Amino acid sequence: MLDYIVRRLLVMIPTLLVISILVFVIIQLPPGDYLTTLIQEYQDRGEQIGEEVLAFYRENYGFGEPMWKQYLLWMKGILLEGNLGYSFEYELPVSDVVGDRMFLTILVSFVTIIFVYIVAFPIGVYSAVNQYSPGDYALTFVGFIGLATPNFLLALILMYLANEWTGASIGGLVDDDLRDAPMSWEKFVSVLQHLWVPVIVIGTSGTAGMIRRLRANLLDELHKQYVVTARAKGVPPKKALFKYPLRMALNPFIADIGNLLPEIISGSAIVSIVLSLETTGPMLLRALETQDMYLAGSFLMVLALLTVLGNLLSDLALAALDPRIRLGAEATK
Amino acid sequence: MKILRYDSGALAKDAARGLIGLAVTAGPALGVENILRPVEIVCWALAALFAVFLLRTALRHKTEIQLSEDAIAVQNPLRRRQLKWSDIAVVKLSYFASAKARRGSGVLTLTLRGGGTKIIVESSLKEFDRLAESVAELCARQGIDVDPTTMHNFDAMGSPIRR
Repeated sequence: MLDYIVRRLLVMIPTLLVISILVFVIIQLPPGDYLTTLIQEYQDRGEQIGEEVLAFYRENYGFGEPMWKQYLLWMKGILLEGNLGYSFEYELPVSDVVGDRMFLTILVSFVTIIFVYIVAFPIGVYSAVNQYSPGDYALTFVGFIGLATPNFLLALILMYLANEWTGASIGGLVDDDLRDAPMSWEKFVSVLQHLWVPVIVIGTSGTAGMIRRLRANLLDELHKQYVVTARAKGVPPKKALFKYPLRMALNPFIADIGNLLPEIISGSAIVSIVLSLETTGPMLLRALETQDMYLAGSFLMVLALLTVLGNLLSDLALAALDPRIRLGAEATK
Repeated sequence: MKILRYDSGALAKDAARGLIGLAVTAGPALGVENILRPVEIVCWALAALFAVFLLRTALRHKTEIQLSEDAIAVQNPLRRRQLKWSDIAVVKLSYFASAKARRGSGVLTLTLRGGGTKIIVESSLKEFDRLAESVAELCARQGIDVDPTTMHNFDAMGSPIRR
């Protein structure tokens, strides 16, 4: 297992390096850069930007230099100084800009993942064990509705209904008076009070998908010969379910962790805009629009890191749960 | 008595992996001024993992698996463990690879347990296939129960446990 962990960790390093190159190239693809946008904005206002400001940006951030030099400057900051760069839009270091928003994003994502698993697991097992029962049909119907409804539409419907019935606005992640306050216990409690709406909205489609996958996998396992034999030999139904079939059916469930993490963070950008959530999604969108390259690049690298970490976690969990030779794979000699 | 050793080519690759990992993790933790505290902690934790891996690789270089008529023994400079074939009560054959692993990128681990002794050997051992085949025959002969995963892995290696 140690061999496997070390190999997987080492694979992460070149993977992240290649992703960082791709991220940087894609951000630089549109014509111009932040400096040309800034000069244009000044000219539109009939003003002239100071030469010393331009010189400062060029010297410190490599504007006008070849793309590879700008990339090396960015990576040098991240790797050697732990510095994510400077946000030109906010005129602050990226770490200061992201600050609370990253914490809120991670909180929303983490609670959403917990929600998805807690809801999907028992429903998926129930649906498989009670196949074609009224309960299974009802849950399947709800599951398909959840899969078919876009998250942002669900957000709009919830906002409309809440406003119509209670007159309250359920947008945002904190009370308005605490929005710009630094993180405190009071603000944290306010976040928890607002959290249920985005968690339900973002988590519904993931939950529905998980239910369908777990149901299908468990049904496959329950129809295998070893389960039939176990039942025929009088193994109690619960033991015949939990001992092996459920463990085997969990494989794709666990393999999904790798995709779930970045999907929830990046996929919630539109929901965050609709629900006015103070998460990183809307900020990422704005950073891409304005070519705020260090801010956008850092966001995308965090997403990449989460993807790679998620895949690592799911691979480790899968290896611990079911260390089988899979079709097409072959052990090293 | 037959003596098996870990493949030196595979051990050299492992050593290279360990050294690269140690350099990439301990390097920034030692060399970067003003490194963020959480990043430093993660770097040191990973460096410790790679250091343990390097030590284990070095130990494997000196490890012998001794196979005799009555027993299997693992001997390295730190200790010697011996397990009689007749005492083996638990056999596990596990395969570790990522979900999207390429051919040949996984690692097989054979665990033998009994009489309070546990022996683990990995597939980088020379003649691992022969050893696995012998253990599959032993399972059939002694009627040792194995879990479905182990059964599947012996099948996939071409050494099914025939009852």
